[in-house]
Amino acid sequence: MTRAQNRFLPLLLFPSLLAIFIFMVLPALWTIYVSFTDMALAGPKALNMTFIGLKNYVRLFSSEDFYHSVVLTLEYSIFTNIGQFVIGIAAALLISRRVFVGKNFLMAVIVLPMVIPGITQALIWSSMLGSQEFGTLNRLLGLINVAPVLWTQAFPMFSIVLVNLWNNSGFAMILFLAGLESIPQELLEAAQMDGASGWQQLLFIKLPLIRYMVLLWLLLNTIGCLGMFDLVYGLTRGGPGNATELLGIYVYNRGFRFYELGFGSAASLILIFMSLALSFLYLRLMRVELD
Amino acid sequence: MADSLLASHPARRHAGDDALQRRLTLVLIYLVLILFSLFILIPFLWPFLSAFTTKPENVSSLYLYWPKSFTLEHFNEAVNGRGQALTLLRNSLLSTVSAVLLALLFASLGGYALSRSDFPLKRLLMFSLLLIQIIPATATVLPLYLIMRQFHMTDSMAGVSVGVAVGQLPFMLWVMKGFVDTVPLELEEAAWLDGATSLETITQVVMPLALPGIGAASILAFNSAWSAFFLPLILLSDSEKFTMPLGLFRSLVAYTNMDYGMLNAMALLYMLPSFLIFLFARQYLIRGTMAGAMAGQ
Repeated sequence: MTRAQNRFLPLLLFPSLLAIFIFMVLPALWTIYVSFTDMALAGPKALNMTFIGLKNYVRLFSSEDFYHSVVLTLEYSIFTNIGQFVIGIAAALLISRRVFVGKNFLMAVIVLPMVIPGITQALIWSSMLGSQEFGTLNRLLGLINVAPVLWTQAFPMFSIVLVNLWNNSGFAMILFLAGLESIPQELLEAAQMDGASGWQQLLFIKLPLIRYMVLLWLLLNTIGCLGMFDLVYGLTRGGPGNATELLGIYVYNRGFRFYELGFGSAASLILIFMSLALSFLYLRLMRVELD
Repeated sequence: MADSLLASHPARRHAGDDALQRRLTLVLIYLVLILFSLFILIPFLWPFLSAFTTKPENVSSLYLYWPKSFTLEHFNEAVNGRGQALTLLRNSLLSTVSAVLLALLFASLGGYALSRSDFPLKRLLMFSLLLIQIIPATATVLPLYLIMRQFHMTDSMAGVSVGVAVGQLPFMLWVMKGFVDTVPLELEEAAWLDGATSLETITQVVMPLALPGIGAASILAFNSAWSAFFLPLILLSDSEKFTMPLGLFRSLVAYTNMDYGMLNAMALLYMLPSFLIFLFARQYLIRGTMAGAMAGQ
């Protein structure tokens, strides 16, 4: 590498780093500052904000709506994690190391929802989960004599979890499949020779060997749930009431519906810390090393 | 699961049982996988049905119905009528293409620099880039809005393009660095000896070799910029500047007795690039998503 070349390189990197700093790092830092003020999006407090110390945080931690939102987000992550795991691992186990007619078709079908924009997913599911006996889900359940239900109203959490499973199970399956296919064939054959049953192979060989992939997916999906917006907002707008107001929607609503930038930023900061902690864990797991 | 059927103890196996078990296993596999496929595919019935057919009287277009006849009227109304699909698609295309070009330009130069340089805190920088990328956009949206307002980029396509482009930049830098890593330094050195400048070496030696990778990265960037909903939602308020996802969302919220035939015609037009990517570049997308999940490996 020549001398001239070396001096040239920082110049090439600088624009990217500057842009990332202004539009990604600065907002995160600014959130800290705004969270100690009573800044508003519009009105007199938009220009003449004052420092109010920890007042936003006192209000936040005594706010039932906020706790409700945190609990909802946790429930949403737990339910989607369980559902995606069951669907993903079942599909991956069935597909792995098997050759059968229609395998390619199936692999294609499973990733289809991942390609589709979030807002159209919400549109599609508004018909699926539609009310009365006409909603597609109600019609299907009607075949086995289940009474029609207004899903998004009566079972809002179930509704948004179901859509998430539809959208993301394919991703879980792909990761698990990659893990399963990397297990040496001899290992499984040896276990089979020793008389290990399918369940024993799954519990004592396959799952331990793909635990890395599973943990990776678990963290990514949980972080995704923390930031979840368009799929849920498009379908329910956080409602009915605040029954599906996940943290991401909570922050958006404080800022852009109630114009409370200061208070909303305090909530943002909690969200940032939660995702940072999980991200850090994830990167350590990926063994991205620090010098 | 199915394996438990396959893996009975060798000593207890009889030839007849074995064949039967294999057949049963196959039936079970197909049953589960067909159910799974139906779960994925059934929701797609409605948008196609309601966009391409006329519905009987006294039936809501929000639900599945037995079509009366095939029609392109919904598309006509979406494009030439009150759907304003062309304006929405134009805005989407404009902001997406400029976001992708912007991200590619910055990321290819930056990725080259990251690949070819060595400085004390490089690993820390790479680590931080990933950390920044993983923080959800919803968490930092309020001050981002304030910053955009400072730059007079609210309610402008430029604001959306820049926001969407920068949002992808950390990941793109990682990807591009990876691609440049695969181009041998000796090729560049040979070009320098022939008298090429640094910039010429990048544009004429390195980039052409990294082109397949750049193509894959662009597809990934396009798909996520095309889907962008959150950033346009907070930045745009003038409906003349709305992108397609905002247009769809506005209709979804605004009308109670909505004509879903037209709305689905618009949604299908909007999903066309996604379907094309799905048909022709699915592998890139899967590999890219995997690379995103496993960055740093």
